Parts: sequence; structure tokens; C-alpha cells
Amino acid sequence: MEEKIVFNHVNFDYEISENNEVNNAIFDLNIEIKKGEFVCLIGRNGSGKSTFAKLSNAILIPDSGKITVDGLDTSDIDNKFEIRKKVGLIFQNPDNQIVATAVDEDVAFGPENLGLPREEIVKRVNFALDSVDMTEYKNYEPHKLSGGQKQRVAIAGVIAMKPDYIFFDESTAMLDPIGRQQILELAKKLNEELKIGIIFITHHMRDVALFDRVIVLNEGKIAVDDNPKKIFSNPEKLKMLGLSLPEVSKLVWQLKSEGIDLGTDITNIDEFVDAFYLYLKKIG
Amino acid sequence: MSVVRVENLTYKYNAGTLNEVTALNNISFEVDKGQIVGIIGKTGSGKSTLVKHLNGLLKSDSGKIFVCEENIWENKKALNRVRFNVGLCFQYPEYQLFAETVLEDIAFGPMNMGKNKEEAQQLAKESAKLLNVDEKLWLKSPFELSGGQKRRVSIAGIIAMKPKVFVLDEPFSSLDPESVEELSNILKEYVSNGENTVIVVSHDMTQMAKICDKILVLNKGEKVLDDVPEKIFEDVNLLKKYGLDIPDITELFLKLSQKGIDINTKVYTVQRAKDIILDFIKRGANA
Repeated sequence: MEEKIVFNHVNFDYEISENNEVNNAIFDLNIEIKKGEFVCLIGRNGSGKSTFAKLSNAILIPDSGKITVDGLDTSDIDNKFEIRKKVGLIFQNPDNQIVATAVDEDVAFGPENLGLPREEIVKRVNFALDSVDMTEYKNYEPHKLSGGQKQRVAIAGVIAMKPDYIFFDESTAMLDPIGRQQILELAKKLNEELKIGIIFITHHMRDVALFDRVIVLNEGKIAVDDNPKKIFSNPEKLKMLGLSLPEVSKLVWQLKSEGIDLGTDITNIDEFVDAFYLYLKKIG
Repeated sequence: MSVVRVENLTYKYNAGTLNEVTALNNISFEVDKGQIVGIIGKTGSGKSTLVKHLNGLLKSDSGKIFVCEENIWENKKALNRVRFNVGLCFQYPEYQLFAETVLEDIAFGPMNMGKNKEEAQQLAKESAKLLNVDEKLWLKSPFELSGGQKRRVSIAGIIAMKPKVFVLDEPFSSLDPESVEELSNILKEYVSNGENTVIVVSHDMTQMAKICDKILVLNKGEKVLDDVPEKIFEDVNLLKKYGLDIPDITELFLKLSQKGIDINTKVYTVQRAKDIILDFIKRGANA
């Protein structure tokens, strides 16, 4: 059986308001995300991104339709435990995700709850801390760490569960630029080295360009599902979806409107530099 | 004319104990009326601690703060005035929504200032309109709104008090690009009468470069830079040393320059970048 998360005609509503206005958070959504994919999930505030993440690890259960994780139906209560192990979730606020008074104890919390033998727990904790580059902080009190470091501890806690997928739900929104960069690099590393499927929710358009696949949600539906180059080649559509281009791509389009065409598939700084260099050569 | 003046401000957490930490060290600066002033610095550099001093939520161990030429700790009346003159919008202000309806929530500040119900409602409505809070939402519970809407309602609640100095701590984080643009325009609009002033703390260098007249850089509780954006983003290595980033566009131009393209690198907005490149190509063609 193929390892993937599958949404099949999924509908989900939060409580229906007094005037019976149906307010679908997720509306007839179909999608597949395979293990090992490196996916970015974007969309305006309220488009359903967090709901999507919570549906994927059975925190929320669809009102209708079906979600399976590696073939396990999320609405079957007997699968809940297994699904939570497979699908990890990292939230926005690092302070809300730490439970213990020492870094290694915090990472051990999940595996301990699985009832694993002592040696296995130690092995997993060491591996997880090593993966996020936090081994030297093993005995630290979590509250003495920076925001970025706390997020890495939270990620280690998820890795210790040996997940197949990790959702990062705006996990970089509260971090400074360096912390944000570190978490992005870590997500990439986990994807490449451990083959964990990454679903990264963000509002930073520059970071979107780094992913293989970009899913845009709008009003609980999939508006676009494509690679970043394709996504950024339609600025009008992005704008309609409450999003924008990365700064570099904005410049590309502005120059194009002035007759300087560098090619509209430029999404990062290095590509721009190369294209501009070529352009200068061409015009002599 | 300066509307906020900070003189030699020092603040220590856990003063006198073994865990004493100097959060702010001898900070001085002035903010001119009608400007948007940015404060940047990495996590733990003292930004939030500093802005909490500006309306007297924290009291420094030494140093003085003047708002509208008045020492805020002079007496109790001065402190009361500063609480209304300086509106402080915390990080994630939407966690502080509490009233039964959106409009009541926004009117809470004006009511506290002693306005009667009608006046407060009027101010709340004006503020809600300014923040593009849809009229259909006014009588809804704030808890039914989406994240972006909640953020707008909570900011409207402060603007309704018409603070002379509006201080916002990380107002852009977790807003979608459209809302970031919208909020930036609202802040620019707010200072456009020349009477109001905005002080904004953010990690979003691109946005800060776009809207700020002046930027302060904090590092380990000290003010290390205080200048116009073009000067601040000039020295990349220095900013990196302080754990900061530069706007994407500035980074791009520095890379062009490293590649041997002799181009002006003092640029941090798309608009200016376009002009410089057009000019560069034109000059090349003429040479």
C-alpha cells in the first residue's frame, strides 16, 4: 500500500452560527500528499490551512467525506493513536508546546507515552535531539532557550515519535529572521535525510519558492496545486487569493512592464542575478 | 518636534538577585511627531521591554521618558495621561478580545476614557471603518471571526482611543500578504495628518524598510543604530552580526554588485529597484 495522506470529498464546519449561516472551513476537498513530499501550504487568513492540518492528524474529524493516512481512516477511533504517531504537528507559539522542565525530558514525553522500553526511549531522544542540532542543550531548562531553539525542541519531540509526516503550522511566524531560516533548513533536512513528508504553512512568499509543490487554499477549497514557478507566474491570481509575489518576482514583473524581460519564472535572488547578467551580455 | 524622548533608560529584570539581567542598557532616542519609527533586533534584544516603558507599563531603574514634553513618571496625572496618549498594541492582540460583540470590544477603550456610550460607539464605528472591519461583523461575537479579522478588530480597539502615539509590537506576524499591505497603509494613513505618530516593532525587514522614516536597532539591550532605513540597511555585515536580516531587494542588489555589476546598492524597495535598473540600462546604452 502506498504511503500517503488522502482527502476524499472532505467537508468540515466549525459550529454553525445562530443564523444558520453555513460557514464551511473545508469544502469538498480532494487531495493526496505522498510520504516524502516537500509541500508548502498557503492561503489568506481564514482559508482553512490550520483546519487542514488538524484534519490530517485526527484532531478534527470530517463532517462528511473521508481522510486516510497510509490507508488508516481518521474517523475510526481505533486508528487515532497510530495516526497521531504518523502525523506530527508543530504549532506557531513555541511556549505552548513545551511540557517538561528539561529539554531531554520534554523530547522523551511522547515516546514515554507509547510505553517503549527505557533503552529505546533514550535512543530516540538522542537521535531526535541530534537531528535538530540541540544535543548540547539536552539538560537545559526549556524556558532559557530562544524561540527558535524551543521550536527545535518541539520538532525533536515529534521526531522521537518517528513520524511519516510533519505539518509546520506557521511555526516560524514568531521567530526572528535567523530562527526562521534555521527552521526552514531543518524542515528541508528532515525531508531529505529522513524522508519525512513536510507540509509547511507560511505567509512568507520568499520561503514558498523553496518547496517542490505549493498548495493554495481559498475559502476551504484548493485554488491552485502546482510548483512555485507556475504559482508565481500568475501574479493576478495570487492577488485575488490574498497573496503576493516574493519581492524578487515583483521586481521581475515590474521590469517586464517596462520592456525588460528577464523571464517570468524567476523566484529567487540567484536566478535573478544570473538572468540579469545574461540580459546585460545580450544587450552588450 | 519630538513627541517621545527617552533619556538614558536602563531596566533590569530580577534586579538585586542572582538572576539579574540587564534588559535595557542606557538607551536614549527621540521620535518626531508625524513619523513612523521602527524598532528591530533579534529575539531577546529588548524590543518588547522597551515599548512597555513607553506608556508606563514598566518602570525603569534609571532614566527618563517624556511624552508630549511631559515626564511620564512626574506624578499620577501625567501617568494617566500617557496611558491614553500612548496606545500599545501587544503581540497577538487578538488573544485579548473579550466583549460580546465586535463593536463593544472596540468601544471599550473610549468608554474607559470617560466617553459616554454614544460617543464611544461613534468612535468605535469610525475606527472599525478605518480598519476595514465589515459592517456585517459588528454585532457578531469577536470569537467567531477569522485570525485576520480578529487582528483588525483588536487594532481598531486601540485606534478608537485616538492615541497620539500608536505603538505596535509585531503587528504583521501571521497576517497574510494582503492584510500586511492593508495594515501598512492604515499606519501610513494614521500619521498622515502630521499629528499622530507610530512606533512599530517587527522582524519583517522588507515591510519595515517600506514604511519607516527611521529605524532603531537593538542588540543585547543596547541601542546600536538609529538612522533612516537607507543607512540602516547599508551595512549588511553589521546587521548580520546583530542577528538581523536585510530586505530581499537589498540582498539582491548586493549579489549583483558582488558579481561585478557596478550598480547602486542603496535600495530596499521594489519601486526604487526598478528605477535603478532602468537607469543602469539606459546609462549602459548611452556609454
